[in-house]
Amino acid sequence: MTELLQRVLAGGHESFIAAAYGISLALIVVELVLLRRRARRARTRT
Amino acid sequence: MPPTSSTDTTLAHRPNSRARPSGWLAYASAVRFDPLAGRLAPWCFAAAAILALAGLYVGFGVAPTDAQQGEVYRIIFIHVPAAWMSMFIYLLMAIYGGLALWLGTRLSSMMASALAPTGALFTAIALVTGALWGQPTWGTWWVWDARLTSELLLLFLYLGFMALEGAIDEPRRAERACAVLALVGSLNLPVIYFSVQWWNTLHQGASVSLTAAPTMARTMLAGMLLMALACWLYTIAVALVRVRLLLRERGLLPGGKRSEGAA
Repeated sequence: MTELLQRVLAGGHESFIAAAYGISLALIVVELVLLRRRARRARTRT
Repeated sequence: MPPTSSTDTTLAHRPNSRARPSGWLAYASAVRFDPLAGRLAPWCFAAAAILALAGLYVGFGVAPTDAQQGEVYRIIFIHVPAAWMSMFIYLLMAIYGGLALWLGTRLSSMMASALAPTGALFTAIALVTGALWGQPTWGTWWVWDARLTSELLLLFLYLGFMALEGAIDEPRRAERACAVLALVGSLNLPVIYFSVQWWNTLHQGASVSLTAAPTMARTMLAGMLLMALACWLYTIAVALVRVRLLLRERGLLPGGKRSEGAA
């Protein structure tokens, strides 16, 4: 796994793996943040 | 005839119903469903996180390097579960939409609404990770082949569903319109699934099928299934939280005020 990480950092084809997981995680975080904001809005309105 | 609560959304459309639903059907009532969803959601989030960590460990620490694609194939552990979820969620939305039109259960419509953003999320993940996998293996980010194009169409269906819901002010009308869209849009699902068999596509055929043995190493399959389970539990958790919010926003719980214009 360390070797894979080194190759990712070196910017080879393996960096596509980091991009794929990074973007996926970012999209999930965005959904959770929006959900949290909506929950806050609902709490203040009711 | 037993009295029916004014907040009992299950029977709201069915004035001739003679009895309260029993067993699992009772949870189609907003009043019964809300506390159950509140209890289940945190457990689903926790289980999803644990399974995702286990799936990533198996995928990156245990599964071997692919003989042809090298390390890049490890995108499979997010790409394939996301693509599966994109189709399963739309299928669920179509089923909920059908139930809402047939039985008039508002909770079914709300489940479909709650699932749509997460379905769009997984479709976007499948498309983006697919492009990131395509560049090093195929030499291109995108081709207009049947699998990729029908998956992109699925993303537009999700976005259309959410836009339609937001465009109609009256919730009942919006729910009916969205249910019809979900049902009609589900015709795209077999096109996505069978596209690699019906047409000559750059996208590879299925490595995992219900009718044939998988064509990949067991550890690769294990990592993928763990990630798929994690995605399922995440979807359930987020949908439960979102339905609870919808119930409050639409004032369908006792003591709840109706609030318009929620995202």
